[in-house]
Amino acid sequence: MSELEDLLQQATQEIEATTGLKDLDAIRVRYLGKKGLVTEQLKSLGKLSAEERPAAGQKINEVKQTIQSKLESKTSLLETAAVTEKLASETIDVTLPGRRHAVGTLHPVTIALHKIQNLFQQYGFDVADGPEIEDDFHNFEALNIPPHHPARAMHDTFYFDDGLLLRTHTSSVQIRTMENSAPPIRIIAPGRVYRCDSDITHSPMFHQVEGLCVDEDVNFAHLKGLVIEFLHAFFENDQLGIRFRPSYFPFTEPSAEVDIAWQDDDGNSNWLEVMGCGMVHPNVFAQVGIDNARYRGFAFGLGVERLAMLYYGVRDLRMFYENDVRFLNQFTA
Amino acid sequence: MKISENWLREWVDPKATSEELAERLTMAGLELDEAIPAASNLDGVIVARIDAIDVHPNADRLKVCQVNTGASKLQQVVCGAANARVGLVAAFATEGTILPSGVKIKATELRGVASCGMLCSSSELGLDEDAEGLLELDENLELGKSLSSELNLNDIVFDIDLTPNRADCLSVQGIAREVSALYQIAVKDIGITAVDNDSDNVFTIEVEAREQCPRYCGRIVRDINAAAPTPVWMRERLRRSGIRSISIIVDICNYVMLELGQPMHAFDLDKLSNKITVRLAQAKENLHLLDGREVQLEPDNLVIADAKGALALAGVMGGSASAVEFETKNIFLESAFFAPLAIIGKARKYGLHTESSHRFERGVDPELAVTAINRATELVKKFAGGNAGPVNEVVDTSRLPKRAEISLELNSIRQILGIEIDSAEVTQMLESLACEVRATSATEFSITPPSYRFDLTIDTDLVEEIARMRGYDQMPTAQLAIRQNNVVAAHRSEAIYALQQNLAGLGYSEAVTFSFTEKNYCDLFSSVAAKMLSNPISSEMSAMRTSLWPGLCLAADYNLKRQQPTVRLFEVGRKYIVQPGGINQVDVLAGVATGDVYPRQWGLPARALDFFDIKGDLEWLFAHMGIDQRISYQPTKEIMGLHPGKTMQINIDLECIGVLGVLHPNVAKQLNLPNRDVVVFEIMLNDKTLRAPQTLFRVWSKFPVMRRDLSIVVDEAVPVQDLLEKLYSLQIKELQDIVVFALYQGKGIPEGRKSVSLGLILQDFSSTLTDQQVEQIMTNIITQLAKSFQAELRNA
Repeated sequence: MSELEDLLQQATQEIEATTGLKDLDAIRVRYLGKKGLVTEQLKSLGKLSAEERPAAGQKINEVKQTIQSKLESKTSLLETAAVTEKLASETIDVTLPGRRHAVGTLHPVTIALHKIQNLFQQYGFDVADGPEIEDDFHNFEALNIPPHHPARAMHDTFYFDDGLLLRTHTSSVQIRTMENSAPPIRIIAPGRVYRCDSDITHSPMFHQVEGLCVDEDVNFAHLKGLVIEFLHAFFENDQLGIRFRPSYFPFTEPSAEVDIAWQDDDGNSNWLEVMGCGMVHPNVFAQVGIDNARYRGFAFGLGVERLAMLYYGVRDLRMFYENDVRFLNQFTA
Repeated sequence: MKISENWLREWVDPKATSEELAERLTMAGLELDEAIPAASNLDGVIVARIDAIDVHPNADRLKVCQVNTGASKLQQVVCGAANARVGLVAAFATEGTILPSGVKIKATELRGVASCGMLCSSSELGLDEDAEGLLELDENLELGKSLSSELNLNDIVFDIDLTPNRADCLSVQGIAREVSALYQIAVKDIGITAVDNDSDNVFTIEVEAREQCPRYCGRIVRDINAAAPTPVWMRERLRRSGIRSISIIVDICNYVMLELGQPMHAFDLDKLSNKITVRLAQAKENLHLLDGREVQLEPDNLVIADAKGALALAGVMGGSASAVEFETKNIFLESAFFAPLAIIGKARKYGLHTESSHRFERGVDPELAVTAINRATELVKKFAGGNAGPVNEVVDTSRLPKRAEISLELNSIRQILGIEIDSAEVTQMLESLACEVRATSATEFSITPPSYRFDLTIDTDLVEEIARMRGYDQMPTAQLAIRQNNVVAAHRSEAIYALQQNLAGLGYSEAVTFSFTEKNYCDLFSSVAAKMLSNPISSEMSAMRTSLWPGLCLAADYNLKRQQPTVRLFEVGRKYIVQPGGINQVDVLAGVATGDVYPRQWGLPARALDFFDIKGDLEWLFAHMGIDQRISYQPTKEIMGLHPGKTMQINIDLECIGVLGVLHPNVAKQLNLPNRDVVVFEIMLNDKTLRAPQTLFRVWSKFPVMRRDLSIVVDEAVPVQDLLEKLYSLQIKELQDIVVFALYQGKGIPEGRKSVSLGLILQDFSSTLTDQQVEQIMTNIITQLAKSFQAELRNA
């Protein structure tokens, strides 16, 4: 039977020496194929006696299986090597930047406005709107600012030849809302406002949000509670120091200015004014025909740029309108 | 209003530090703008007197002064001041003193003469910005004493930002009253009494304009020394309130105004003719004002006049012809109540704003005139000498402001403020504000405010006072009852915000440009004239924009000039279109894009963006808005400022809702933009665009999709959209979609024709399409295209 052992040895050597899957398959055919060398051995069993046959058959089968298994393991080895080689050849530099599209951003005023709107919408305030080119009645007179009122001097107003003006505050939307809808009212009116004034802290155009709440049983405590909750939420700091200080607006009484405790660059805490507010003045209700014996209201107004400047640490108001993309693209959230 | 703390404390002196006092005033509505030290550290500066002066041997302009500092030995000081003279009491900076400018005083030699120390001017002491000559001190000051203590310089100036309703606080007395109420301590009696007359000398006063001037007091003081020096303490108080010392008489008028709140005026009696008449100006009457200007008066100007004509613009400014000068011997003092309505706006009209007009516009206490004229007389007699006549008062009490009783209910206070309060507290608070309080029932009061509180006229005014007195920080907080939002109102702002976010996602940065621009820029895009401001800041900001494009293009230019390779900007805002009968303020979204289509990078070829990049962005946007199915496009040459061959109108249901196009090269040039495609767009923000129809679920076919590609050759003028619309109009129910996948002109295609390649997506709902069915559809399509557009199959 040394012939069989020779076969095994020869096949083993050939399998080991093989480097390609094709060659390996040729080996399989040569030894285990229909006319293969091992298959031939099986055919020769017929020449043996019946006693010898089982033992001889078993040996041949063993050799067949051994070769088979060697072929399989070599196949798997070669396949693995082939995949490894393929992967190695396909490797890319994953550190290269991805294909990029330009990144756009929202204006910080839009971001702040949206935040403000969201917070007030949670308290049931709807967004209201009004014209920017306004008449004297809605911007001044109905707000208890008659002609020659000293408060007019505080508003450097842009006028048109026909007597119209650019609204100096979004408070005009209060009037339009109360003219057109009955209490209960809860609105905020965001929008552009205009003052004839331009320097590092003043822009001829900026954004305000006016708020108005008219109902049967609202009072100064509701105003104070709402403003505090709003400022805490806006600045994401419920420890933020807030104070209400008596002030004067012709269309509210009592009137208040709201200051927040703010640290300057040197770490000193200062009070910074961020909002004006107050209870709706009876003269305003009279102008729009709301019964002040039944309804009371409060109103507030805030400067959007001012809040955005504090929130983002912007120092120069004018940057909001230069539209330098190096500025704009900083505000991703 | 600037006020010296020391002066205030002479009137009322609460046990509180400067900071506490300022804080308390701020929290009562008298906001402290700034607390300014009255002077810098002046250690080493003392009171001294020049006892002798010699001429400097080597310099004509310098004087060698022997200065008496109270010590036995005189100090020699070289000084160049013109007013240095023997006997002058002045501020002397001793050796070692560091002046506010940082200069350290050392013993030195000036042109060969020893000088130790320095005689100082106000500006050298940091008391005044541009004073000339040595600061002249009162002769009665003690030599050798520190200047700070003698001038009371250890003081703080409170700069208080007064609201327009609190005219009553435009004086030391007014703020003292407020402090008194806040601290519940009385205002001290500073001892102003009626000054007896020395003679019966009166000057006739005639008030014609009684409505405008219900009270006018005048008083003659004769034989004064108008050149007498103003005492240094008075000068100091004026200085701390920001008022320049002029002369003793003018200074006294200003001092009384600061002290009591009554603006005063003094005329040179000898320059007055016959009598004083308070009247409205006559037509074309002229007046030479104290500031040197000649103004022509208007008939609604209230003037103080004599027999010859107008002397002063009442409550605003005196005239130069009757002004008090150093030589003046006899004066006529004026103390009046002018009605605010008679003064409001008058100063402004002449570009003036004076301490006097500021007070009269807001309201001066109508009961103050007599007290003030007595105070002024007392000071005139004390510092300028003279003898006074009696106060001549012309008053029409029926025209003085009415002090009506205000009824106040306890319940109103509770309802407005949301606080608990009892009648005792209300009474105490209002009485501390000098209101007369009369209880008309257990819960009702009748209140009469003091004459100086013009701002207290209705019950709410009193409620505010109560809130102020209690302190806003003591007011409770409460939570509003929950209320549901109006869904419709919320939709619009949310839809616009979604648009903004989507555009940011597409790589656009949001800009905010001014609503006004240069008229020329408006004219580039609109044939309708822009609405012009009558008082613009500049011509660049004078026209209400008729389009957002000029602002966006200027912003694009700004960024391109700063080396940005690409600019994609958008803005949400209004444009203002003048229409017959009014102005249309239209909300729009607009954008501009120019430059590279992508940031420069290794993985994509560099290419300039063009019309179709931006059209793709808009199509994407419309899909997100849910309106893409209703949108159609229409080429147009009619949009001003845009390229006639690269512009389209965007329609919904045949209504134009927007425009996309490339800037006309001439317009781009005028806007400084580079010579390449600058793509702009504008979309209206209205119900059509923001309110998409509700989405309804649709079932899709489960049978396979077939795609057949078709290349046809048509005339190059045929819009591809027409081909697609034609195919859809055939109502082939299996035709689900059409993809335009190639466009070709050139070799193999006849001149003036183009090849359009369409991918037709076919699918049936009830079965798998057979080849025969597909062939039938394709034949139909080819036939129809040939019929309508003379389309030929390419390579057929």
